[in-house]
Parts: sequence; structure tokens; C-alpha cells
Amino acid sequence: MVWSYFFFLVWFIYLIASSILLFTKGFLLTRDSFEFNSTCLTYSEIPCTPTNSEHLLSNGNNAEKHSCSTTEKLENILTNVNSASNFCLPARARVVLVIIDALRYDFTQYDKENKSPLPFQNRLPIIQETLESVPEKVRLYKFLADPPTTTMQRLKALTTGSLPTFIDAGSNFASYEIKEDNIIDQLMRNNHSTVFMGDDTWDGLYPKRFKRSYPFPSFNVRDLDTVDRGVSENLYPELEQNDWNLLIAHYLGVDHAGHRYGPNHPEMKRKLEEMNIVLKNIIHRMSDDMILYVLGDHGMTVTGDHGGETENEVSSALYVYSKIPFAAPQNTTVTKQVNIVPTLATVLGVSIPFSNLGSVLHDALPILNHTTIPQWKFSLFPIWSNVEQIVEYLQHYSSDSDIFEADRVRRIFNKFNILKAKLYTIDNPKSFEDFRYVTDELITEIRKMCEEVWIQFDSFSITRGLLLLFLSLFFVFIIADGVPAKYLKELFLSSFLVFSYFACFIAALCSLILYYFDVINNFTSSTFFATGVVSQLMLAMLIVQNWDTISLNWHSKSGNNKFISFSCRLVLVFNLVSLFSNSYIEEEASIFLFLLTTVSLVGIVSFCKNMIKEKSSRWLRYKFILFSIGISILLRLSVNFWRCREEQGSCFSSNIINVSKETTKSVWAVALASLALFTTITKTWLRNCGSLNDYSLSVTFAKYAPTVMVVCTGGYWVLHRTPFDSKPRSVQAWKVDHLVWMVYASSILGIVCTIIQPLLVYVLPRRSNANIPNEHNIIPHLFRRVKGLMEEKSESKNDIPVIYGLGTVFSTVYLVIGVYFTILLGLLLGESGAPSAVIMFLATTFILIVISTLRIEKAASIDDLFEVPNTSILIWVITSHYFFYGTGHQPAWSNIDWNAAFIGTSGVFANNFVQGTLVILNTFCPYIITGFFLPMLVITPFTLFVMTPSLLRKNKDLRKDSTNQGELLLFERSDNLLTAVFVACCKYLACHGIRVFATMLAATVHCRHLMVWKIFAPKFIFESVAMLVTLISVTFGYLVLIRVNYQLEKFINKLNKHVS
Amino acid sequence: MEKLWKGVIFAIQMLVVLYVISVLLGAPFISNFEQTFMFSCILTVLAVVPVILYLEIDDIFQLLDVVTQPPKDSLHNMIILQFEITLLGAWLGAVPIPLDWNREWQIWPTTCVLGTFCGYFIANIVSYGIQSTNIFSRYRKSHRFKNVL
Repeated sequence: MVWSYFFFLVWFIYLIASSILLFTKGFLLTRDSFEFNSTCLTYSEIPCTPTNSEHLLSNGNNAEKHSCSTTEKLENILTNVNSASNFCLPARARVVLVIIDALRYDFTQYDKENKSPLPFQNRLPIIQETLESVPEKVRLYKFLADPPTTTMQRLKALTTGSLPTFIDAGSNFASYEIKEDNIIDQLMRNNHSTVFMGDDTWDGLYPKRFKRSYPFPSFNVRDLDTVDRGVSENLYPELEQNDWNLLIAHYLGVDHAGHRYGPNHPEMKRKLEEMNIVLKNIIHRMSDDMILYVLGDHGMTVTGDHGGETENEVSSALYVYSKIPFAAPQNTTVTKQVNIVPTLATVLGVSIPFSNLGSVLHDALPILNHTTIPQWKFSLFPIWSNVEQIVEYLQHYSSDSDIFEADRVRRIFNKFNILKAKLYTIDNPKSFEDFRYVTDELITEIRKMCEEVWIQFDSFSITRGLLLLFLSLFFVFIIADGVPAKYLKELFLSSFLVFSYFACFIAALCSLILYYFDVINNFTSSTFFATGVVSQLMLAMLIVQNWDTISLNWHSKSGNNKFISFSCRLVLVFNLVSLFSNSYIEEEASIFLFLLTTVSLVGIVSFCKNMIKEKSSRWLRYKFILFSIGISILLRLSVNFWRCREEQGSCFSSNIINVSKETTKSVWAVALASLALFTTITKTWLRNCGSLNDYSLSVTFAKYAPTVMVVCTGGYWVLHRTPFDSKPRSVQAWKVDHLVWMVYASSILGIVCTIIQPLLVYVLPRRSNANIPNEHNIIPHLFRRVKGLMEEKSESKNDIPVIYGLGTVFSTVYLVIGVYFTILLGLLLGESGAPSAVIMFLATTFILIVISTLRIEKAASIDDLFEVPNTSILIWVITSHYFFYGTGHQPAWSNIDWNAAFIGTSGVFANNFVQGTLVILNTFCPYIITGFFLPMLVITPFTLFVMTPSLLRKNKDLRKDSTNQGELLLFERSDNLLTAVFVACCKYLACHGIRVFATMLAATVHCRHLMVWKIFAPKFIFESVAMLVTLISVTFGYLVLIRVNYQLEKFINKLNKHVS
Repeated sequence: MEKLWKGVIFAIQMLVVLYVISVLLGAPFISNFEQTFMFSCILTVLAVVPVILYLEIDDIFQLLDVVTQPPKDSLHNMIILQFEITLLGAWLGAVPIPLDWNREWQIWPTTCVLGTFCGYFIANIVSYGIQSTNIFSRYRKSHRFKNVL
């Protein structure tokens, strides 16, 4: 029966996860990418004789080679301007492309008036100097990136000219090779060569494409200099070389400085000044056939992060310095990032990549060195080639799928044809200008249309995912809430579960067969759907069968406790509705604080209501109120650890602490003190429980490991805080990491040990019965009572074993594992976040105590205590969500704390699995803690019997039931315990699930909303990952319970045998 | 006279308690001291003072007792209802603050003060309504009895 509960949970978990995945499939679609390449005849392949273009194309390569002058040949090409994309003009220059990661536009500005510039202001004076001294050689643009502003997406855009879609954002650190047509491949196909140095993301995107490449690891955000130093070392010698056409140098230091310290920090000043020197050197060393493009791939927020679509993140700078004069004077100051692609293609004399959506930046083109032909003709040619390429792409795309409105596409083709007819009427620079303006408009229109459409949703999967999720939550909640515990046991002893599993298996098999015979084309989603439908049917059948018990149960339950259940329903509804409002999602931290505090205040009121019936001790009431206020104060304290979203503009000005990333000594001291205090408190508690007396492995660990972990964490922070260069020679990076590994190892070992030997009890040797081993420890009198329990079992009075820690045998295991995890979390959250982990742990335990006190107050008998009220579950859910914010997280990409990935992993692990786990642990820690602690909702009242017997003095009914046994009562009714925890798990998951459902629905409803990719979609993704984490942690918590129960049974049996 | 003093002291106590509660619910602790203080003053005057005056309560626990107990008489009922609905109004007043309408009144504590006033207003109407229906139904009941008799 134990396992049938577990398997039902697994089934439920599968249902939730599969419907979320189904929804995700429909909601987060990717753009179709074509593997077509555009081709052109290069300058050397084009014959001299003036022929019409069709002829030329058909036998371009075989055409006999006349020798003719360059002028003739060029004129010849220019006559074919109406099919410009088939021809390539010769290369105009060699290109040095310097990418300064996260170069925000205002970094490049220079303000002479500013006498006391911030660290990021006025640090690139070279740009201003050249703008003043040689304005004809220099261009500076504001360079607007498309969101998402993560480096890999930007690199894709910078080489293919397309708009990377949202789904790519997640795969930033496992970059995949680019298959779409791009500028690097174009160069390779035309036998031009590229040299690359810098961020190794490039090497992942373009393996084996470079003539020479000098990649450097980019993942370690802490390391500001390795990449930059490496790039600079290789850059200057390469500039001397003659064998490349494109040289890419990707500097990462500025971005890393932003991530690590934020823009407002001396390190940023240092990095920018370094960049200034680099630019100066490059300009100095460039030979006469070179053009320099310096650009940022994205900007950064006030905190130095990026990923979103705010003004600060999307605006970077493009600076062009050319040795060759420009073809046209600068007439724009703002340009889109994708425009660089056709521009580079034109300068390098290759064709524009197939899926490019940018337009040629004609005022940043150098002239084609020729005297007799007017320059505007050379500009017109690539512009028309650009238009042709885009229109061809559109044609291809719209013929392949019907996502574009046919009307719109036709209108665009019409415009294109009109323009084409006009092409030969252009005969002077003036008409060329007009023409250029019109083509620009056309390209912008096409790009806008693509942008709109590339967020296409698959409504089929979306609706099914929504429906299945809702139904499974609904049915399971009815079963968990409606069927009384004793019937539930019978229900699970029947063959129902086996049948359901069997049915699901058959459904999966059917879809496999259908897939095999090509009836359906998507195996996973149809399996999800088929098993989901079958499961819903099974659940519905179960409900119909038991409807009479369910309705009876609900009927008897209704009527009690109106006040609390009403306010909790209000809170739940409020909570769900608020997910549909973007401003409420932005401010969700305050909203959860508000709700949670309200609930704890309501708890006080309702407690007082109960207490009035009997005029009981005031002291108890004070104690209760103290605890509730304690919760509220802890919650309010955790406000200091909130982070701001980029959208919350006012938030940044109000608390400056959040902006600067550097931690002060006092922060460090507070963090360490809180961790130390935490270990002391928990250890004192455990000692009072009598759990720390044995000498077994798990007890020894529980005794010493937390202290060791805290010391190591503190040591790591100290060593980490010292600046890189002032570190003593003896302390190398890997030695610092040893401390971290200590923490990891001891927490993992501790948890494993505790699972293997979950009973932290100590059997006092019988001879030394009167002699208590630790005399200064106050062993509470309750362990005598445990003795009393044994008395009943064994008749003879002489043979009573005295066992320490048996009264709290269940809760201890959870507490110990929780302690390991919390300290680990303290390390991962860093100095500034560590106290919040402690606050989270304390607040959850306080909440447990308060909830349990309330429940003890209300309970009429022990059996009542096995029933966790829905309100407690709701409070537990809100707690988990609140502490997501309370530990300094926000559901936004730029707020993910990547620093956690580098704690103790400097360059050791080849794959990103460990780093990913660390980031997930950091981000979703509260869900892990609350999910794992869920069985404690059932256990805690019994713990309180033992630890604070005064609580019961009042409740006479319970006293009758020999409550002094504490958690042994749970063991005696282990069936009830497992059922109760199972029901609690189901309800908890359902409550979490309904929130996920609400976010899914919100994302669907708002799928054309302005904020969908900024707020609703990230919210949905964070919420569903949180759901997955919760699923795992709840299962883990339940397994631990089963394990403890099993071991306890063995232990008691042994004891009984021994005694008798 | 002594009672008056006690009442005043209790009002001040409640002022502090309400201030603390609003801070716990998310109001700024120090930075907007004046606003938060004014808000708790208004709340005290509207919600707590009537309770002190009419029910002669001068202790928080007594207040909690009174609030949670079933009412003894109609005046009692009225005052408690007024107390509760005023607090509820203040609580609901926080709802529009996070919305991004960018109105100048969308700041702490304007909406909450408005909510308090609304709550007080509604409470008065509601309690008046309850009183009149009570009287009415009592009248009806007595009437019916007469008929039966």
C-alpha cells in the first residue's frame, strides 16, 4: 500500500509534467530555418562581354574569358542591376570586426563638461577624438539589438542577419552550430578567409570555419582578463598579416565586469580604459585597405546584466573607422543590429546571406576604388541586391507555410515590381537618394511583418495542454479532498492503480504503433495526449464510483470554520487573478508579502477566537502571538534581499544596495553570523530532542558537519573577496575551490548518511540506566515518558530500554537534511543572500509551529490531527512562492544569478551539468525546501507534543490519548501517517499546479500582448520549472518518509525481540 | 477621568500597533514615516476610537476578544462591524497600488486612506441597514405573533 501511494504520486506527477510539456510545445515555437544559401558570381568569374543576365547565369563559368579593363567589366556588371543579387562587386576593403561585449551606447559618448565622470562615462575618448579630427573617416551609430539580448542570440543575428526566436534563449551556454546561411560561410564559399579570436561561443557556432582561431573560455564571469589578454596578444600580430579578409576579435571583459560588479564600479573603468587603448592601437596599426567596425552585441542594465528588451539592454554602439573614404555622408544615427550583415557582405564582396533581414548601411560603406563611374551606382547595386535577397527569402518562406497574410505578401511583391521597373530610370544622385529611401521602407515593412508572425502559436497543443492540466488537477484534488482517509486506503488496495498504469501503457503503445505506420507524425506529443486522456477517464471513473462518499464527506465538512476558509479562498483567488496582470507580476514580491502577512495576522485573530472559549493561560496566547509576529518580522526582514526587475524603474533609485554588486565587510559578517547562529539554534534543538547522543555515522555528521560547512563557507568568502592580484601567492584558485568542495561533499555525504541511517536515536545501555551520558545537557523529562511507552510493551520493569530521540524521530530526519541544504544554499546565494536562506528556514519552521498550534487547538481527537486543512496547504504554497522573491530572485532572464554556477567549479567540469544544477538550486531553493518539508505539516503537531507539552495542558481531549509519546504515535498509526502525507502531497501539488495553469492561461490570453515575451512567458517558464522542482522535491520528501517508517519498524521489532 | 486616560493611552498603543502592522504588510519602515504615520492615525480615529468610546475597551486582548466573540447586542454589533469593515477597506485599498496606470494618486498611502474612508462610509450604511432591518423584522415577528395569538 505504501508503494501504491507512491505510484499514484508518480502518475500524477507524470500527468502534470506531460501537460506542461505539451503546452510548451505549442507556446514556444521556433522559427523555421532554411538551409539555402544565396550565391553570386564573383568578380573574377564574370566574363567581360555584355550579355543579358539569364545567359550569363546559365553558363557563367564556361563563358570564355576575355581580357578587359576593370572599368569595362564593372560597367558591364552595373548594367545588370535588375538582377543584382546574382552578381557580387569586388571586395572594397578588408574588415576588422571588433566586438566589445555589452558595449552600451552611452559608454561611447564623451562629455567634456562632465568633471567627475562615473566609472563608465568618458572612458573611450578615442571615439570622440577621431570624430573631431577625421570626421570623414568615422561613423558612430546607436546600434539597436533585437531581444533576447543574450550573447549567442546576438552572434547569430550578427552573422545570419535573422531574428533569433525566444526558444533559443535557453540554449545560450550550449551553443549549437549554425546551419543557416551566414556571412562566415559565404566568405568560406568564396575562398575568402576569416581569422577569429575571443569568446569561444564563436567556435561552437562555427566549428572549423576559421583560417586561424584563438578561442578563450567565456563561461567564467569572474575572470575579467583572460579572454581580453588573449585577444590582444593575438590581434596585433594578425593585423600585420595579409592573408585574411575578415578579422573578428571578440572582447568579453566589459560584459564580465558588468555581470560581476555592475557598470558603476572601478573595474568597469579599468576595462573600458583598456578597450580605449586597444582601439587606439588598432587604428594606429591598420593598413590602408582596412576598415574597422567596432560594435557591442548588446547593452547592459543598471546592474550590468542583460537578456531582456529594455532600452538599456538593446542599445549598443557601432563605431566605424575607415582608411578608405566613405561612399556617402552619414545620414542616420540610429540603426538596427541586423543591418551590419548586408553591410559586411557588401564590403567583403560576397552575397548577402539568404535569411538576412537587415538593410545595407550605405553611409558606412567605403568607396569602391574607381574614378570614372559615379559612386552612387556602386551603392545602388548592393542596395538592390539586398532588396532582391529579402524578397526572395519572403517568397520562399511564404510558399513553404501560410503564416503570412496573402494580401500583405502580394502587396509587398507589387511594390517590389514597381521598384524594379523604376530601377533604370535612376540616373543621378538625387533620384538615387529617393530610391534608397523607398527601398529602406520596403525592407522595414518586410522585417516588421516577419517579427509579428514569428511568434506563431500552435493552438492545438496549447488547448490540449491547458485542458489536460486542468482536468488532472481537478480530479486529483476531488479525490484527495473528497474521499475520507479510511476509504482512501481501501481505494488504493484495489486494483485500480494497476489498471490505470496498464491503460496508460496501452495508450502509449497505440501511439507508438500509429507513429510507426506514419498515421501521426509527432510521437511525444501524441503519447502525452493519449496517456493524458486515458488517465483522465480513469480518474473520472474513480470519482463517479465514489461520488456518494465524496459528497457525504463534503457535506459533513461544510459549515465549520467559515472565517478562515473564506479568507483563504479570497487569498487564493486574488493570487490567481493577479497572474493575469503584468504589473502585478512585476510587483509579485510585495503581493506575496502582503498576503502572507495577512494570513499570519488572520491566524492570530482566529487563534484568539478559539482561546476565548476557555479562559486559559495568557502566557500561551502571548507565545502564539509572539510566533506569528515573529513570522511577520522575518518576512519583513527578507524584503532587504529582494532584487529589482529591470521593469521596476522606481525600485532602483530607492535602494542603492541592490545596484552595486560589491559586498562590504559588514555584509560578510552578517552573513557568517547568521549562518553560525542558524547552526547553533538547530543544534540546540536537536540536542534537546536527544538526537545527538549516538555515535553512528549520521549522528556524528549531524553533530559536526554543519559547523565545518559554515567555517568553510566563511573561509571561501574571505579568500574570494580579496582582489585577484593582492591575493597571496600560495592561495591559488583551485585551493580556494577546495573549501567549496568541502561544503559540497559534506552536505551530500550528510544527506546520504541520513537517508541510509535515518534513525538518530540512542539506546541507553541498560546497566547505566541512571547515568545520563551528557550531564550538562538538559535531557527533558519527556524521554522518561518514552520509557513509559516501552513499559507498556515489555511487562518487566527492569528491562526498560531508555531511548533518546525517539519522540522526534521523524522530524529530526527532515530537520537534519534541511540544515545541510540550507547551509549549502547559503554558500550558493553568496554573502549578500546567505542570511535570506536562514530567514527562509526559520520562517518556514515558525509557520509550521504556528499552523500546528492552531490545529492542535482545534483538534477534537488524535485522528483530527492527521487531516491537514486546505488552508495550511495554501499557506505553505504561498510561503514557497514568497521566498522565491525573499531569497533575491525574480522571474526574469536578466535576474538569474549566474554567479552560483562558478562557485567551486573553475574550469574543472567539462559539461555544464554541474553548473546548471547549481544555478537551479540557487534559483528554485525555496521550492525545494518547502516541497521536501511537506510531510512536516503532518508531523509537527506531534513534535510539539514532545517539545512543548505546555501547549497541551489545555486540550484535555488530546491528553487522554497519551500524547506524550510524540512522534511514536505516528509510527503506531503509520497507515494514517502515510495516507495523510499522501493527501497533503496531492493537494500541495494541485495548488501549485493551479498557479501554473493560471500562468499558462495568462500567457495564452495575452499572447499578442506587448509584454508577453518580457513578463508573461518568462513567468510561465519560471513557474513551470518551479513546478518540476517541486514535483521532484515532494517525491523525495515522501520517499524519505517511507524510508524512516521502514527503518523505525525494523528498529522497534529488534528492540521488542531484545526485550522479550 | 481615569477611564479617559486609559482610553487615550490605548488609542496611542493602537496607533503604534497599526503602524507596525502596516510596516509588516510592506509599507516603508522609515523613509515615508510621515505618510505611514498619518495613515495609522486615520485608521485609529476611524476604526479604534469608536470602539474605545462605545465599548470601553482599553486592552488589545480585550479588543481581540470582543472582535472575535459573537456580539452581545445591536450597538455592539454595529461598532464591531464598523471596525471590521473599516480595516477591510484599508486592506483592499492596497490593491490598485501595483497597477501601472501611472497616476499620481497611485502611491502609498493615498489609496489605503481612501479605502479606509470608503470602508467607514460603507460600514455606517450597512450597520444602519442592519439596524433598520432588525427593527423591521422584530416588528414583523411581534406582529406575526400577535396574529397567531
